[in-house]
Amino acid sequence: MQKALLIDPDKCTSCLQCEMACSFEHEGVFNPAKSRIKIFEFEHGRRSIPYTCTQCADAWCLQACPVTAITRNRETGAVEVNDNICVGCKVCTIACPFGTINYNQDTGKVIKCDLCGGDPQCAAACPTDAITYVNADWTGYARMQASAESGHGRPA
Amino acid sequence: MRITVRTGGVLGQYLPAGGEANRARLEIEPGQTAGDVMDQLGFPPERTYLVILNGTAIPKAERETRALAEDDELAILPPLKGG
Amino acid sequence: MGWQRKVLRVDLTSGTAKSEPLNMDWAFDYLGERGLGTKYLMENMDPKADPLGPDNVLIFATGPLTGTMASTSGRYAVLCKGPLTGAIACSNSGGKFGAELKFAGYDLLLVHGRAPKPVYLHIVDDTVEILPADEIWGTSVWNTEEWIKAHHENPLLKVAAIGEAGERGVRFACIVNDLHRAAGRSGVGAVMGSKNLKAVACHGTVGVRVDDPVRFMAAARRGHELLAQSQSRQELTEYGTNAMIDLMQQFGGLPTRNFQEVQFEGTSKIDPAAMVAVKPNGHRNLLANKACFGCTIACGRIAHIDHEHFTVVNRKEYWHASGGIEYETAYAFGPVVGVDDLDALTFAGFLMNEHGMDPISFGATLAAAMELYERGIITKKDTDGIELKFGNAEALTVMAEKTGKYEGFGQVLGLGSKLMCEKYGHPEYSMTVKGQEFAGYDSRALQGMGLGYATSNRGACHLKHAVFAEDMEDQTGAGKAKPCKDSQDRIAMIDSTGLCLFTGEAGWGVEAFQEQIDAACEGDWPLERLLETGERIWNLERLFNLKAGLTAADDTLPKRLLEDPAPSGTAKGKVSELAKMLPEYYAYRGWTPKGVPTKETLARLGLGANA
Repeated sequence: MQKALLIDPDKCTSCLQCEMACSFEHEGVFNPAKSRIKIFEFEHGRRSIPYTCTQCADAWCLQACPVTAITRNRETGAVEVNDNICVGCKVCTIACPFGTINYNQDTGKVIKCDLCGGDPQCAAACPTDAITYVNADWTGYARMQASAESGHGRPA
Repeated sequence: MRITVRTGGVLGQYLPAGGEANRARLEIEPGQTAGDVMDQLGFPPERTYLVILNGTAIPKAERETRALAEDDELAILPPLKGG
Repeated sequence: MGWQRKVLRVDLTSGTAKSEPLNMDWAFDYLGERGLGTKYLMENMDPKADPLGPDNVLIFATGPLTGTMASTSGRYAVLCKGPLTGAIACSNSGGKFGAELKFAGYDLLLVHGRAPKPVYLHIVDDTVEILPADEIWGTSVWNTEEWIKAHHENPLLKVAAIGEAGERGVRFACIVNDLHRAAGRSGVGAVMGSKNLKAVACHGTVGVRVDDPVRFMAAARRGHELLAQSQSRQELTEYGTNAMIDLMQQFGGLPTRNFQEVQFEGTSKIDPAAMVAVKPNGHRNLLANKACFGCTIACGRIAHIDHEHFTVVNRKEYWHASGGIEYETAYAFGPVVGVDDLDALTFAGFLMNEHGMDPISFGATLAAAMELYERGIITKKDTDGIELKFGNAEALTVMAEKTGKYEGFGQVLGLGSKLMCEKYGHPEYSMTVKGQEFAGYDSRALQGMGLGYATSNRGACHLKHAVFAEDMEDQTGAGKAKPCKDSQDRIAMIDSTGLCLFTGEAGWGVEAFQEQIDAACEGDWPLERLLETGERIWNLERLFNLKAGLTAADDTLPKRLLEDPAPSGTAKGKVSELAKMLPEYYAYRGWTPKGVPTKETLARLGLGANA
């Protein structure tokens, strides 16, 4: 079963454990500057929103890559960059409408979320369940359920 | 006989339902102590509490020995800590 | 690792910035943050120097665990000689700035001298620039951060800045980072202002490593789990620290109307329940809770002010959300000044972060001014026509703004309560120790707290010791010396790790710190070594103060707490038993009856050279 990252910004406290977990997993160092997931804060922190790649089924980055360095992992559904092939042309960073694939000056390659091969560390590290890893077919389920329960103002 | 029990913060969960927030009237037996009431209501014994009986803080030892009286005001509060 | 092994030294007089290796002997003896910063302070300045002169040294100090996955790894300290106290100043902050300084590759930033004209520091890894601050000098903290990020087109910068209050030398001016976190106490912001340093902006891409990653992550995960399961952590998450106000009210230790009383009739209007109550017009004060870097507790509050409230009804620029009230702000803008208007408290809190001031010292100073006013010692002629009576919410908010902008009577309030009360010939109304105002705990109700206040090296401080359990169990002064000293040493150690004190309040024992330090840092760090480090740090701070000219006479409490009994609450009729506790404390510390560390104590701690 393919799973996807589910982000619930209302639960995010901007602790940035996810950013450290991501960089630690991929680079072996605690370094938010190399994290594939970033937290964005608005209005003095009233809202903080984790943002990362959503693993498009028909990905712009994959299509744009001139050397076919970007492929789709059949098991996890993640869109992955092969560092051995990537030439750092950065055309994928232009193609992605969400900005979630970025260039890494230190390596000369692009980096993006790859779901940690099926065990995303950001979700594991998140203390509030602002990031969870759920059935890709039902990322809306919890919200649907809450909506149903709220009754939309109809009498109980 | 009846006493009033007050609490604060997350400890509200131990009060019987159907009262004001964090405040309840409780029916108890004569001779019961603050410790008895706390056990009865399910306050985990291994935690630390600030217990105030009728405006006086009562230390742990006294909670087990001092019998409560009619209309006593017993406050069972989370411990004080910095902030 | 843990440490970056690198210190950035900036001399503002000559306009130079250079990095140098971290002194590892000192790191092994003093750990980091508070301890290591104190050692660097001792070795780089004369404790007799003028706090607002160029010879004061300003240090931003991270700990070995700052910027790691240990929970609450966002802490850093700001150290210098404090202008409010003339003693060592060590002010702790969270937010994101400290971690960023570490990610840029530095353990410490030392700032010497005084820039000829206002400047700010711009640090991106190895690239360090001292840049002109003309466009931001004279403006607020919030404007400064916004300008710097826009000017450098870098939203990833983290900024620590002062407002006008720090520039103009308000004695309790602070350094605000990330808009609403602060190195709050002792006037560290005024020191930064005296150096013509407006802000430090930093971005790092180097990252932080630990010595044994596998063991460290296992220990870090255990730490996370302990916090996740803890009921006191849950309370901090849900209510923030303001949960204390109801407890202190019931206990009868809530300083009210400048410590004339110990209970306040208005707490239900400013407590956590009030913060989530919905007003008839639909307004709710509290919006969300937020965390500092790495923190899995998230005690921070985000709030906003009712748009119809008198403070902001015609000021749309304050309609946005920002840091909400926590316990000390609630005490300082609530009971101690007699005000119970939650929106007024929240607005005053915004002003503290916008202009860069310590709410505790401001509130307690205003309380002293209100007492002077009510006693007729000062009048409307002195106070810009404002009726400075206890309970006057408008007086609170107007004076907060005046002090932030250093206008009118705000210039007098900006002296801090000690100098202000001395100015008007009534020093007895200043509720301070070593010139620093008390926090929201009354020493008559909490005896061990009183001992801690009197002996804290940075002046009255509620965070440097922890004897709540003993004070709840026994409201006399008996047996308070040992837990006071032991907790002071333990906390000095915690303050040197880069982690937050609240972990200890939310479920961690000292073992949790020990495991993580031992795994992250080179060398062996058994518990005894860590606790001894804490004791060493405490004694070094004491030595700084003795060299600065402080004596045992400064380890005291105001007359009001020694002589005027608490009028109500569980401690009704009690005064502080400091006279009984202090000699016991000195003896237990291994100090002379005059409060000086003995040669034996210094030798045992490796401080023999200072005897």
